[in-house]
Amino acid sequence: MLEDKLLIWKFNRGNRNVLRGIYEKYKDDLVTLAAALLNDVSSAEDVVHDVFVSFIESSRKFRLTGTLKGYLATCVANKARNRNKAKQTHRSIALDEANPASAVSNSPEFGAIFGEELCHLSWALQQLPYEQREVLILHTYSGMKFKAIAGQQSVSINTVQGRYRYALDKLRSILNGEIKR
Amino acid sequence: MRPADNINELIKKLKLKASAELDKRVHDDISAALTKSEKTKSVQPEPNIWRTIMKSRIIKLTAVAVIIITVFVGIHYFGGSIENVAFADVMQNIQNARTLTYRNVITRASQDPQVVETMVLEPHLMRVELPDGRIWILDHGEGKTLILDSTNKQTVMSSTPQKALDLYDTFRNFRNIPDFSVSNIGQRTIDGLQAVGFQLTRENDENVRIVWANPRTSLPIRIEQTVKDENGQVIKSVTTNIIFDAELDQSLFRLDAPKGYTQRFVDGPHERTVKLTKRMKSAKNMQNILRACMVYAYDHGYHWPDNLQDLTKYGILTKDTLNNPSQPERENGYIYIKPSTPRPPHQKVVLYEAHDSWGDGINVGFVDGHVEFIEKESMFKNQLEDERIAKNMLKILLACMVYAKDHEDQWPDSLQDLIPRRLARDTLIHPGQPERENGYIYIKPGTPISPFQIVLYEKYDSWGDGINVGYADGHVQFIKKESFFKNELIKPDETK
Repeated sequence: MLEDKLLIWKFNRGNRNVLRGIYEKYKDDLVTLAAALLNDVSSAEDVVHDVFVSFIESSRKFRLTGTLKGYLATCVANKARNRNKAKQTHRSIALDEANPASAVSNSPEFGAIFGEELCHLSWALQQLPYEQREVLILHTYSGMKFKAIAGQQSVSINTVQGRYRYALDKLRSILNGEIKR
Repeated sequence: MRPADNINELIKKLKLKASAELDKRVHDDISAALTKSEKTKSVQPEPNIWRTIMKSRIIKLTAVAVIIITVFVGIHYFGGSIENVAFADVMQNIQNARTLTYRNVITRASQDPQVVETMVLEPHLMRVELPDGRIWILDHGEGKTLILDSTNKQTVMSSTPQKALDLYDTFRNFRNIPDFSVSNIGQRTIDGLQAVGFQLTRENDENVRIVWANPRTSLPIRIEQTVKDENGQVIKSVTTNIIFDAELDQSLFRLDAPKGYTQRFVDGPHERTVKLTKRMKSAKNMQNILRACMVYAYDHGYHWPDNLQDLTKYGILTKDTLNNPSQPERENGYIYIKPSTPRPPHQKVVLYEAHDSWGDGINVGFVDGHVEFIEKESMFKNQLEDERIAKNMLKILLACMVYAKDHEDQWPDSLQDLIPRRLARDTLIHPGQPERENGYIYIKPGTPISPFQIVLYEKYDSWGDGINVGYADGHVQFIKKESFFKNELIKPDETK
């Protein structure tokens, strides 16, 4: 936390080299977060890249109020949501397209990267509505507080907690079903 | 356990690695941003059109007029001329600063310049980042200093402000200069800004302090100081990159160790008092223990207790007396060495504080009942070692005498003759010289045996403080003077 504050302080004073440190420190977590949200490694990397491009451009304006990790996770979640919306729009236009989520999640790429057990989880995550998945991943993986997620999603904290509970229940039943199958 | 029961743990296990391609893309973007920012900063050479314009007389006159108007407008707009900038305004700004960040370049004689970044959060906090990666955080309010060493992952907390940091505390030093006079030393361009210089002087003070301030804002932009340290060494300090009232997070000045760092504490006056009080309480405990031992011995035929618990069982000592107030976590705060009966003359130490590391020293209890605080570990160890040596030598002498009794008063030809029946081989090893198989010199006494004849002494390469010497009557004595020892060694028996 203290290290992050110092990095931001240096960054705001024009030291762009600290960006390399910030990127190296959080890149894997951010790519994982984006991939869990989008279920697509390539899109996930694009999202992380976009986040850092915006971050580079925000020199001297940036003010860290919470944690740097939380801030970057929020940025990734926002970009991922936009990308997901764009994908949905595109999907609704291409009516003849097959269900992309299941196609991607069962891809050998994910199995190879995450391992068999986590691949099941990844597949199960894709069965959740996006908002629920986002809450679950941001809270559990990125460690964000419900209050912060509520602010980010512009909904009440009760809604966020509800989404989290629904996500957990649904995921649990999906995984149990998957194992039985 | 089924995976579904442990979803949170499973999600935390998700781990992807950013690809090399993403690394390259982001690092390229950062490099591009860096290059762009460097270009913006660097001064671009501009075409020299001044001479071309000034060839025309009309343009020359126009230019003069424009300059005059600009100067007047400027004076009106900014509310004063450059000369009118008062040092009082500069000082006022320094006094009113909430936060300060600046860079100091410190140059000492025959040393490379040292670049130090400093942040100050008024009224009490200062953070100094040294070029070797160490960070010093000083809290004048709490009177504490924390040194963060990220290389070795350790922190040192001092309960007093460190004087060494004064050198970097440019502005505090300024505020504290008493009775100085100020002279204007003219103007100069610094980093593209016109600056006014002020020199601060004091009577009988050779130190030079120059402040260059921006006449528009009355804020200092460069401070040059030449001071002498306590040893008379000249130190030059140039303060630049001065930023007033930047947002500085309080957490940058936290005085606690980050996770994973080892902590060490250096004492201040308060801690020293607490430690001293505990040390005195411990000494008092030890005196009580020794007194109880003596009472116990008096009641038990001059036999000291086998252990300290016997004293509590006997009802002459409370259990809490066995606890050392300096180390309350230890159940038995003291180590007891039972003296044998009759008490051998060499044994003096019977009690000392249990310890893992030596620190400032320990309390040691002696057989006569007094307690001493011993600061030097070597002194304490030597004392214990001497006692062990003397004890061994007594055993050897006793074994020799038993041997003589069995061999018509003939002492053994060598100490090896005593092993193993009358003496354990280990007893011949000198505790201070374990590498030697036989740590003692044995001189077989002739007949008739003189009780004052030296028959045993410690082997030594150099004399040092002295050696233990064993006599034919079975007693051991520590001799300090080498000349005395040699005299004793060669004296004819009848003169002794």
